[in-house]
Amino acid sequence: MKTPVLREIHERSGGRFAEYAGWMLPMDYGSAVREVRAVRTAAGLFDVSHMGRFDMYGESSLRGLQNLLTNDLPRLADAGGQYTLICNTEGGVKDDLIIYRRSYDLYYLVVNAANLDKDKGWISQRLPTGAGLVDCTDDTALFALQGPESAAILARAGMPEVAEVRRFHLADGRIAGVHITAARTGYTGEDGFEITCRSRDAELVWTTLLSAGEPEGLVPCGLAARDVLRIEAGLPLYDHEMDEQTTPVEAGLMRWVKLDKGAFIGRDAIAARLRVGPEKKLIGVRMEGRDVPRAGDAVQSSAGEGRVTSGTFSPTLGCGVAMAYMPPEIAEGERVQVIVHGKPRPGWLRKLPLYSRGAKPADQP
Amino acid sequence: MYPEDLKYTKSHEWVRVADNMATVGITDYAQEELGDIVNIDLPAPGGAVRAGEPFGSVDSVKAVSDIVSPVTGEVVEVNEDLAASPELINQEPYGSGWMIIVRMEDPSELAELMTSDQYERFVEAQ
Repeated sequence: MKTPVLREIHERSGGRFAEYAGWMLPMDYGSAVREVRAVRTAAGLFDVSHMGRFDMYGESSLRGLQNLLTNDLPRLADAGGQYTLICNTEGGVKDDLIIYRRSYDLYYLVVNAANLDKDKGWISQRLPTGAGLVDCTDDTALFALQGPESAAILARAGMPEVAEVRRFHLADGRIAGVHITAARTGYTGEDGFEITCRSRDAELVWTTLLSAGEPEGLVPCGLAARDVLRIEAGLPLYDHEMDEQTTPVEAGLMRWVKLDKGAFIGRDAIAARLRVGPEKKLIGVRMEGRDVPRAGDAVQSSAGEGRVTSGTFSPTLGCGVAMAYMPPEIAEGERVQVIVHGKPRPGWLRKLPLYSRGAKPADQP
Repeated sequence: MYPEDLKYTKSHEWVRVADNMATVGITDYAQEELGDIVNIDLPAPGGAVRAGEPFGSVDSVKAVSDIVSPVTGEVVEVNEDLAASPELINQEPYGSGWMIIVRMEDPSELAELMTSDQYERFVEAQ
């Protein structure tokens, strides 16, 4: 079992640990609900150092990556990033990741912890001559600073230039005298930054950010809050909403698949699936009350039965919420029954995401 | 640290007895372990509960857990406030976080339960 570099710091902050993807990680710091509210109204800081991080370098990087990834990499300028997928030859999703272009021959990839070894093997075996992959996970730490106050907090911590950084772009800078890279992205549906630093600077960066954010209401947040936030925001999680047997057509991820960019692994299978149509459709579920749907729960609709892929209680919406795979002909707005802990409970099918930043509570779907 | 006037189960419920009426809830240890309680499912008044069998469930953010009845009998009252405010269980597990009141069929079942000292030792061994 691996443990984060900052384990003691998290324990001192009241972190409560559980196993995830071969790691012992902080699930919450006492109250996941309070952490969710902090991210929606102020800011939260997550240690996500378990996520895999690779540098890909060399003249042939672009060519190699274009073949391995579904999104169109030449659209990126230096310091730009994009969400993208690795698919298998059948079009199933091997992983989802964010890739940043540092320069024409250097790319930075952030992948799922659970898929790190699988990705490393898959990519390494398919690299063209003139490209190399370096796993920099152990040498670095990754923190997610998320919430409407994120840019102000990072500015106060010593990096005011982040105000100018556009979404999905990164910037190098210094806080507390050490080098960090801040990428304006996240997994919560709020504004925020994912911050990479060297492992040996992790404690300094973490504590600097926390103290800079304290007046704004910044709190350390665990994986439980992260899961709630991403479900509210309709963001998929590997092995829940997608896997090697599910194509991006079913998962609703075709925005990040550029079939016209030229050949890439999985392209033909995805194009074929698009022609015949998906076997199932990913959709949101909003429960009438506080019942909490869980992954695997059945969803009964007029078009037949579906299944919950992720579910939780939404403190932001005040009800149970879920994502579910349903028969493809299903329509949003339909009333359904979710079998929660063995009992049928009412809910409605809704367009994803269930929560959008900036929309008033009454306007949320 | 656990109230001395209560009796406890190994599944972390407590019971407070007055005559043949037993008020049931979950312990401070249980609510702390679960974290934020966001939903609760309880039987309606009039329902039957059996000692050692689940009578309802609580949802934390991460998981659902059964609540096991310490005694056998009929549910005569249910804490209606919990439906809208399940966080009362976190805030006052022995007070406003109580769950049901049972009219006991067999008060001798209480002898099977732990005293506060016994429960404290039981929790320390967890």
